Amino acid sequence: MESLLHVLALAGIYGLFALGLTLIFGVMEVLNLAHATTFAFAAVFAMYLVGYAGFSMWMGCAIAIASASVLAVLIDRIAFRPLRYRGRTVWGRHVGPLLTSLGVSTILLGLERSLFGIDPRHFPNELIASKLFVLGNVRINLIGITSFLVLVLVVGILIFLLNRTRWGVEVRAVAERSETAALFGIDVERRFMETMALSGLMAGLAGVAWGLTFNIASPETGAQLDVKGFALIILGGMGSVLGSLIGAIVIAAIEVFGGLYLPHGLQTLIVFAMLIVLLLLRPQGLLGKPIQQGAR
Amino acid sequence: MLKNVTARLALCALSVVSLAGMQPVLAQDTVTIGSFVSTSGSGAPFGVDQLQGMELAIRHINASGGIAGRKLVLKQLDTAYDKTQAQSVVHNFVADKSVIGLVGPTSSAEAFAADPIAVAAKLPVLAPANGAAGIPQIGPYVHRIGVPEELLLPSAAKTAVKQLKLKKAAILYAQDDPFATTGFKAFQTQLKADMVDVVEVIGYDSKAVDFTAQLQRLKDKNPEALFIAAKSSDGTVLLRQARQNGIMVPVIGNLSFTSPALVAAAGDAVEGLIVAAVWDSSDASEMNQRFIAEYKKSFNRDATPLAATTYNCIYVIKEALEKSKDFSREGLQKGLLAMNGFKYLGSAIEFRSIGNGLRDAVVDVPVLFQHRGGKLTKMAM
Repeated sequence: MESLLHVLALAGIYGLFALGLTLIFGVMEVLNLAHATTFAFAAVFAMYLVGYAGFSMWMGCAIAIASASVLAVLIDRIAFRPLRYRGRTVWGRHVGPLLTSLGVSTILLGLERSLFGIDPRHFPNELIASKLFVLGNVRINLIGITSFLVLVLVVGILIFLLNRTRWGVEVRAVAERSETAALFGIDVERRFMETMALSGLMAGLAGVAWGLTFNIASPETGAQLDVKGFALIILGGMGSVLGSLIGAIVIAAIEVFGGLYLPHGLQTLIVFAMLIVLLLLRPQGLLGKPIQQGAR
Repeated sequence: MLKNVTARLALCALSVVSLAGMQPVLAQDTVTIGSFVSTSGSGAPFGVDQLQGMELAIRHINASGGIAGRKLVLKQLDTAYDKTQAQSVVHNFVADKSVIGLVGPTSSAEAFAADPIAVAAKLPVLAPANGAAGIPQIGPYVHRIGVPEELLLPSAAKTAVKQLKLKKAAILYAQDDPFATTGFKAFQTQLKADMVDVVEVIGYDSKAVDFTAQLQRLKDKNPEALFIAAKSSDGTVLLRQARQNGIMVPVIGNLSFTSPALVAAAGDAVEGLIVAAVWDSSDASEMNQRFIAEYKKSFNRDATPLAATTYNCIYVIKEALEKSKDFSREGLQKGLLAMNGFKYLGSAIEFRSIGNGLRDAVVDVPVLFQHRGGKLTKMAM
């Protein structure tokens, strides 16, 4: 039971992280390599605000999450927007933004290191529960469970917004073909900005959930999630919101149950072996749509 | 006019001669030691202690007249707990001919990467706490001052087994770090010798932050104690998560657990933690008490075993140079080889031959401490 709850706790963090990635890919067709840096920024900034600047836990975490959202918009302005309308070649649509996001990620990492140092940071011990909540014989990580519930809630809200509101229709139209969407009067740039802000918000939520769960973070923390995040969205289906949730649960389950029954290191091996098999059998991922020749 | 020009030329020549003469005088007045510890990165909690220990020793030595009238100067370059950075730093020191010896680095992994550069340049290195097996074997210019984990940890394990009457235990170690791997082997060998059933061995990645699954697996096997050989902050995370998962048995840690910064980060999870050291803060000797008092006064924090070891390193350099009376790299090497051991802060350390003309630091009786009620208490051996 404890292991199952731990799967949900990890899935909460992984899913929130991957949701941001998949959202950008789904709407903008871009793999954002600076997403992990935004995630680490939120975790470290929250710890800085609470541990050093004297903010309360709630206020510090809220500011960090909001800042991550602003940072994601800035990343769009610097890395993606300048390349957005440079022709619809493979370079212009995918490779260019991928490389500029890598550049921005490296610069951000350097800035985070100089601002916060490279030493691991922590929330003050007195503010973080050192003991788990015990119900009968089961120890429950309340922060982890809350992260998972937040993930489920966010997935639900996103699915509703994307499928049941005018805003969602516009975002999907922009995702389908931004030039055509613009002809119909949709403010394409605004939708892109909102998508980036939302993805930053997800990274911020994931970063804060990570900080509260493990109580350790540094600017390098992002490196622990970026490959996992990409694996997860490929597994769930690139661009699929619900796929992120499923992918997060699958990867967290492999990690936890692999950790219980397998020698250390084999969990990661299994994740990637499974990914290769899935890509061979179902290249679009578990919930992704098949890519049709000539589409988009 | 000609007279004026001649006078000016003479003045210039005099100035040049004076300046040229001044430089050697300045160099002769000082002895420069290079420090390459990590004051940033995940090793910073250790490196800062080490640097402060050296700074205090240098202040004390200079206040009492230096070494044969020469003032000691410390030049610190940060390795950032990174092997490549450590190599660059040592290259810098090798090129700087004023540096006659080095103290560092913070980790064994950095030592394996960077010390061969110093050895090739015949620049003596005093290794303060590079506890992994194989450090002295890097070359004859590497002198280990801190007692290696392979000698320190068996004593800790033996005492813990005896005092806690252990029948079964588990070992956790950072399998990607040579220092922690040495600690693991030391624990494992001693536990086997003491007939303790090692119910679980968990090797982990030192960068990992989630040990819940491994700890849950371990909990099912009911070990009576955990022996942890950590690299750095992984020790803090492990300790905290072990307690969170209801594993409340005593933990016997390696040198990583002696850092006050890491202990503070672990909060009340350190209760019951046992660590081994060669430095005893309760030692009443005048040198030790002065070290403790002035460390606190200078850095506004309590002295640590790591600071004591680097303090000893500087005093070892002083003694070596006084023996050889040669203030060069080769002079320092000769002086170090002429020493059979030292006794400054903590237990007496002996330099024992390990074959092939190499030596290693050995201590007969380490000191064991346990965290009890928020305080570090010395354990009876």
